[in-house]
Amino acid sequence: MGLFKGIDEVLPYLDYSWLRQKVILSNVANADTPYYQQMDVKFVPFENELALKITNPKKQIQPVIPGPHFDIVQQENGLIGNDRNNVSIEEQMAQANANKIAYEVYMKMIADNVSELNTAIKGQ
Amino acid sequence: MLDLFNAFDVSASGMYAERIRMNTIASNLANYESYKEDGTPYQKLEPVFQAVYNKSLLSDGLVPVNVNEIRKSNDFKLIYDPSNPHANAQGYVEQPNINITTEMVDMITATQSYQANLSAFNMTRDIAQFTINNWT
Repeated sequence: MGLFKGIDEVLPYLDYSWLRQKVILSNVANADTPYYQQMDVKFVPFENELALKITNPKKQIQPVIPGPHFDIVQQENGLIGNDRNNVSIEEQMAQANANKIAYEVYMKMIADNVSELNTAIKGQ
Repeated sequence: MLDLFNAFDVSASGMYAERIRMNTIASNLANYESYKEDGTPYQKLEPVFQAVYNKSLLSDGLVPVNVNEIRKSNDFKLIYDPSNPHANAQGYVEQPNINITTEMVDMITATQSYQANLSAFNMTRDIAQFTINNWT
């Protein structure tokens, strides 16, 4: 059923921004921890390269295309202090603000989708 | 829901660590010329932070911070002051190796890190609040 298709499209992005929020919290908490390397989340949208080329539509084999997923990566760049820590609090706070807005936008999109469905169901 | 509380715990761990750091700085500043009961100089306190890489938490992107130990410094500065009752045979006195300027700078960074953790905490709370408000 394509009823929830709109929500399913947005859901990975919502999960991504929530995971990113948690990673930012960890980075800020460890801003003074020696040898800590700041982390970030890499969003891998779709692995389209797995799709097969189709010669005969009748013999089509549905390839399993994994949905969007995300990897937590350690960042080795940035200014490294005497404590071998590369967390920039300012950068993290800026990212947290941007991430918060992104999360709220995705959440609003889902909420609006649900209210549209409600309208369709109730017919008013 | 537990996931949300875990996220709060990470910010709380950061705030707790910074508060411990603040406490050690306060002790160091208060005792920068003190001696212990046995006549030896006060030992400077230094908290040691460690990132906790717990496998299940790490897969959620959560790395809390832990105060591993509070290290006592064994470094003392020697000052020539023969009239001091603590002076040794050569007239030198051992004093706590505390640099007030360094402690003050550490205090500023500890305050800023605490505030950053608090802002991040509030931001997470706002996100949770926004989610709840959208479904009521």
